[in-house]
Amino acid sequence: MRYLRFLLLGAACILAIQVRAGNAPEPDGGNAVDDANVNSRYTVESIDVAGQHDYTLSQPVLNEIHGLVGTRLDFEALTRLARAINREVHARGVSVRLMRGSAPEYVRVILEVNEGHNRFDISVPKFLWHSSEGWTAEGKATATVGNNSVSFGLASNADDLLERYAGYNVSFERRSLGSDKVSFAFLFEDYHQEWNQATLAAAETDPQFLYRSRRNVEPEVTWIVARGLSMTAGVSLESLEPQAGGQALSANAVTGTVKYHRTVEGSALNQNVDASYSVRAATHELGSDFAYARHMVKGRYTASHNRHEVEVGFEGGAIVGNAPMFERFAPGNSGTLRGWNKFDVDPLGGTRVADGSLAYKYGPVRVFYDAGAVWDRGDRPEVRQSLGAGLEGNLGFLGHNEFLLAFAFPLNQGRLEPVFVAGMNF
Amino acid sequence: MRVSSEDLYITRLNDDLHVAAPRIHFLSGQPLTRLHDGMSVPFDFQITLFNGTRDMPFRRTVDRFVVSYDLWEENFKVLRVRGARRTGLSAPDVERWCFNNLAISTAGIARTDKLWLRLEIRAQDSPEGATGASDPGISLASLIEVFARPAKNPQHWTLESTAFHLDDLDR
Repeated sequence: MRYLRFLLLGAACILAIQVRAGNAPEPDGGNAVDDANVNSRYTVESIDVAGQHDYTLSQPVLNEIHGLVGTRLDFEALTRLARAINREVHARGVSVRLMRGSAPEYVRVILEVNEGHNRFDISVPKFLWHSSEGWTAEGKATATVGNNSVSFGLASNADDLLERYAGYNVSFERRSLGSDKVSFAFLFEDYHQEWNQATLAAAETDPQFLYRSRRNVEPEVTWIVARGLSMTAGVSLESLEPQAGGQALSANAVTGTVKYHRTVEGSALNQNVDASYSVRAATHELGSDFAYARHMVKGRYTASHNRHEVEVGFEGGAIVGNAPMFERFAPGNSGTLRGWNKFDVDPLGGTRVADGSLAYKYGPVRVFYDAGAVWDRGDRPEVRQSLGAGLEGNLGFLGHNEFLLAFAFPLNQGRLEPVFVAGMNF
Repeated sequence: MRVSSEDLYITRLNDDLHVAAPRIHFLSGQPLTRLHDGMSVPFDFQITLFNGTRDMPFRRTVDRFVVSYDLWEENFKVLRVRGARRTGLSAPDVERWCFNNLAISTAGIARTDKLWLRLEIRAQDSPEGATGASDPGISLASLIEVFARPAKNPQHWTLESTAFHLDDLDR
């Protein structure tokens, strides 16, 4: 599940959708609020979302905003929109304000997000059931005071990596470090590992370093270079306790990420482009027992028109050197090569990966085609394909609350063995 | 805000008591700001009549007026939820129109009964928006409930009369 995002940067950051329709339709029937408010006879020139920080709004909310621009003021619809935004950004409130438009009979709508000075949020960043992986659940509680936030999370995740990792994490984030464009974050994670039997068996013939616990300390600084473009730099200090006992090993790396996002909003077609490059480079100079560099590029393009949406995604990665298991690529989960079991693809993962996805959505229905390969240097990649379909929707609570029920099956495997996925926020 | 009885004028017309409070300007402060932001603001009015004792209300009437401000024409519209509406008014006109539409019956009250009257005005949250989005409909029960609970909104006014008789009003 992917979200279409846009950023509203800075204290006075405003997304304005300056679309005006030539003919405003008549209100359909009216209601008590519209009847009481004399301004309901005017036409919406634009809807601005204003707030203190960056917000990520889902495509349904963006569609709702687009749908209201150019129409007669509908206060009930505006209230629903304000509530939807309130749920998505976990604000204290979203208030509606009107201003005169640039021409008579038109008004601008300002939706002001009030985050409040202090907040406490509980969210479920990921929750899913995968028929070959079992349950994955992550919960997070965040307390925010001004620009500072402290989070405590619990996780039992069998989806992202070859290992099931279970434990807790604590993070601190300061959104403004001398400038609204610079933020600082500090993460501490402590997880215990559980390995799949397929991985354990494969590790006997192709020895890999397996660990029973993993601790990570990761401070990082993010700089918003320009609207839609950000750079993050930091270090990741991992300590791995061997499964077989003995002295802990470390995987200390410098990390860097560049992200780019662009939204192109038109009256007929909305497009989103997301791209990122990340690198993790561990060297003995940082006191690391592992020395490697892990590169990963990702790209995604979506185009939507009314209830139709097309999404194209790609990711590729390479590891140079000797990297621990958590760095190895393992497609065949809820997001990549859906329909394949990652332990059937390669129980030890690989140091090279390339995969892509093509999806078409109509309302809550989606169909998708995935293709990709994972291999080690010197091996010949075997391309795998899968096909799937599902239903997605918005429950209206717990974060962005996209839920997905999907099934997918591998192609060209000689047998039809579908994988089922059900979950939220992934 | 509690205001002295000198600010409350009571008149009798047929079997109804009417009130006026020309020095009370409820279209002010935060409600007026919300109106200038294009939102509508409901004002709840309650008249309570006491007969013989101030401990027990004898009769009560409640009414809601929803006011909005036209951003382009720069005048007000007021709608009495249980009745008429007016547009193109100035702020003093709105206040006067609301008072003119308020009345409480004197049926069953002897001309010599000792009476007291209390007028309460409360500005409610705008029905538009995420935090103030409540059902814009109204019922007598919901209005009584509004006045029964302690006022959280600072925009409210209470005016109480001194003791009077119906005879006093006829002079």
